[in-house]
Amino acid sequence: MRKLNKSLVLFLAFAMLISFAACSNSEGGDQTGGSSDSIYPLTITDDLGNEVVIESEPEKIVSVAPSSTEIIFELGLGEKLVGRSEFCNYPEEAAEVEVVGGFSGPNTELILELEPDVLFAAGSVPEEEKALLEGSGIKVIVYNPEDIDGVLKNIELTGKVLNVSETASDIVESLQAKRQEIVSMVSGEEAKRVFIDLGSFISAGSGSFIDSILSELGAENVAAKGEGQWPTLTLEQVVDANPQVYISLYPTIEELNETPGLSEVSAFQNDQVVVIPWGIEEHDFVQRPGPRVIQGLELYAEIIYPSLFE
Amino acid sequence: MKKLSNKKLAMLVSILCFTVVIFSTTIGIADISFVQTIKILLNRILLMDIDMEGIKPSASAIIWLIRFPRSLLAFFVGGSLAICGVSYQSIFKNPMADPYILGVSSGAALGATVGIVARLEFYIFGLNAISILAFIGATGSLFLVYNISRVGKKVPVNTLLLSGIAIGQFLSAAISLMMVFANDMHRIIFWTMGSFNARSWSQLIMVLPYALIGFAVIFSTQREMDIMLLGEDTAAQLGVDTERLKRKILVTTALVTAASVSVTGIIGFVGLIIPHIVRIFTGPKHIYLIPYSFVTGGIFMILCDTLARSMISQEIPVGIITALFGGPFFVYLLKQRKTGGL
Repeated sequence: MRKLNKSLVLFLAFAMLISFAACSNSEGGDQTGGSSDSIYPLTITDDLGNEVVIESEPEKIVSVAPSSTEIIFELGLGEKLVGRSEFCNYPEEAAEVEVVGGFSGPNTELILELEPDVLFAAGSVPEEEKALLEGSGIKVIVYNPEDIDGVLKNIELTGKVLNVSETASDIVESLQAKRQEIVSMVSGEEAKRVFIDLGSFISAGSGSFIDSILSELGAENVAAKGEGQWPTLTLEQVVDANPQVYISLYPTIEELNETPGLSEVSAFQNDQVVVIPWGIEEHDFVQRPGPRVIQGLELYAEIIYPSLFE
Repeated sequence: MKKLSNKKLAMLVSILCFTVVIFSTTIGIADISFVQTIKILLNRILLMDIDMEGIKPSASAIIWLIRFPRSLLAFFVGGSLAICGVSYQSIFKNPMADPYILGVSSGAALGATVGIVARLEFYIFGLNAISILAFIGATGSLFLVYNISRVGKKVPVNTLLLSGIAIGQFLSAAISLMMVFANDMHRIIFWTMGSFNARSWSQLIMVLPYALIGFAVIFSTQREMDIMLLGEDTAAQLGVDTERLKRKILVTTALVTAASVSVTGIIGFVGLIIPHIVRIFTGPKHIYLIPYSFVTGGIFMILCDTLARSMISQEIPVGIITALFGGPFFVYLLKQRKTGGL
C-alpha cells in the first residue's frame, strides 16, 4: 500500500465527496424571455461559473449525477434521458436508462456514442473529460449547490435549459412552501447539538450541503468546528461536544454501542440515535441535492425534534 | 552505552515511559484539567476513593475509555513495529527492511478493504470485522510469501524479499481495483494511513499479548542476531541454525505486525526509522537495540498520536504525523553523525 500514490488517491476521494456538496454559488440563469417558453440560443451560467450557450431545445440528455437525474425525471423529461451514471437509482424508471459512468467518472466514449445535446454533471467531473465532451459539441452543465437555495435554483435552471420553465417553477414553488412549513415549525425550538456520522467519525463540516440543512433547522452541527467540509473528528471531540442527536449514515447501532465512551453522550442516554443505513431510500435523500431534498429536510426535522411530529 | 548502569537505566526508562503515558493522557481537545485527569486515573487505576465532585461523567469516559487506553495502545503498537523493524533489518542485512516488507501491510489492507466494501458486521471479543479480516489477510499474505520463496527447508533471503514485494504489489492492485468499484474509498484510504481514533481497551487487549510475547521471543534471539550481522554464511559456520532463526523471527514478527496493523491500520515509518535512530545511540548490539527500540518506538508513537488527536480540531491520520515529524528528525540525526554511518 505504501506504493500507492496517496495524494492522488486522496484527491480522488475528496473529489468524490465533493460531489455530495458544493463549493461555488449558483448564479441562476440569465433572463432571456418573458414568457414561459425558453428562447434559444440561451445563455446560462452553471455552478462552476461557466457560461454555457444552449443553441436549441435539447432532445437528448445525459446526466452523470444522481441529483440531476432526479430533477430531469421530476420535470417529466425522463424519456429524453439517454444516459445516466451507475448511481442514479431514483426514480425507478431511471434503471432503464443506459449507464455511461460510475465513480471513476463518466465514460467519454459511451457518452459520445449517444450524441447527447446536453450533459448534466456534479462537481466531480474531471477537467480533461469536460473539455473533451465540450470539444465534441456537447453542452456540459455542472451543478454544485451548497444549500437548498442552490438546489432550487438548479431545478429552475434545468427547466429553462430543457424548455419546461413553467413546470420547474411549479415544482420549486411547492417545494418552497413545504420547506417554509418545516422551517417555521421548528423555528421556536431550542437549538440542539447534532452529530452526523459518515463512518470512522468523518462528518459533514461547515460549507457542506448537510451542514446547510442543519443550520436551516436551527440545529448546531458538532462537526462545524472541524477543518474543511469533511473533517474526521476524534472520538474525544464527539464525547466532549455531547451531541443531543446522533445521526449515523454508515455505522450500525451495534458498532456505535461497541464504541467506548459514546454511552456517556446525551443522544445515547436519551435514545436519540438514528441510523440511516446505506442502501435505503432515506440514505439518498438526506444528502443528495436533488428535488427530494425537502423530504430530507423533513426527515432531519423529525429526527432532531421528534416531539413536534408525534 | 555503558554497561555499569544497566539496571538503573532500565528503571529510569520505565519511569520515563510511564510519565509519557500519563502526560499524554492529560493533553487533548476536551477541556479537562490536569488535576481532574490525575484524579480520574487514580480513582480508576488504584481504585482510590477520591472526591470526584465537579468531574463530569463525560470527562471520566474521555480519560478512562478514550485517552488512556489510546496512549497505552500507541505505546505497544509503536514498540512492536520498532522491534519487528530491528529483526527484519538484522536477518535480511538490509537497512531498508521494515515490518511491512514481506507484504504484511498489503495483506492486512486487503482484508480491511474486503470488510469495508462488503460492509461486514460481526464482533469477536470487541473487535470488529475489519480488524479480524485484516489480521487474517496479514498472516495469510506472509504464509503465501514464505511458501513461495521456500526451497526445500531453506528460505533464501533474496527470494523472500522479492516475493514479498511481488505479492505486496499484487495485493495493492487488488485493493485499488476494489476502490474503483466501491463507495467507501475515503474509509479505505484513511485505514491505510493508520489511526488510533476510537480504539480502546479491547484493541489493547488484542495487541498486548502479541507485543509482550513477541518481545520475549525476539529478545531471546539477541545473540544469534548479533552473529547474523556478520552474514548468513559466517553465522552458519559459527554454529547458528540460520534457517531456524529466520523461521522463528518471521513467524513472530508476522504475528506481532499483523496484530498491530489489524487494529490501527498501516502506520509507516516507525518500524523503518526508529531502529536506525536507536542504533545511532546504542550501536548494533541487539541486547540494547531490541529493548531501546521498543521503548523509543512506543514513546515516539504516543507523541505522534497526541499530536494527531489534539493538534487541530479534528483527527489527523497518525501515519502522516509519524513521517512528517520523524523524517526531518532522522535527517537531522544523520547530519549530526555523518562520520558514524549506520
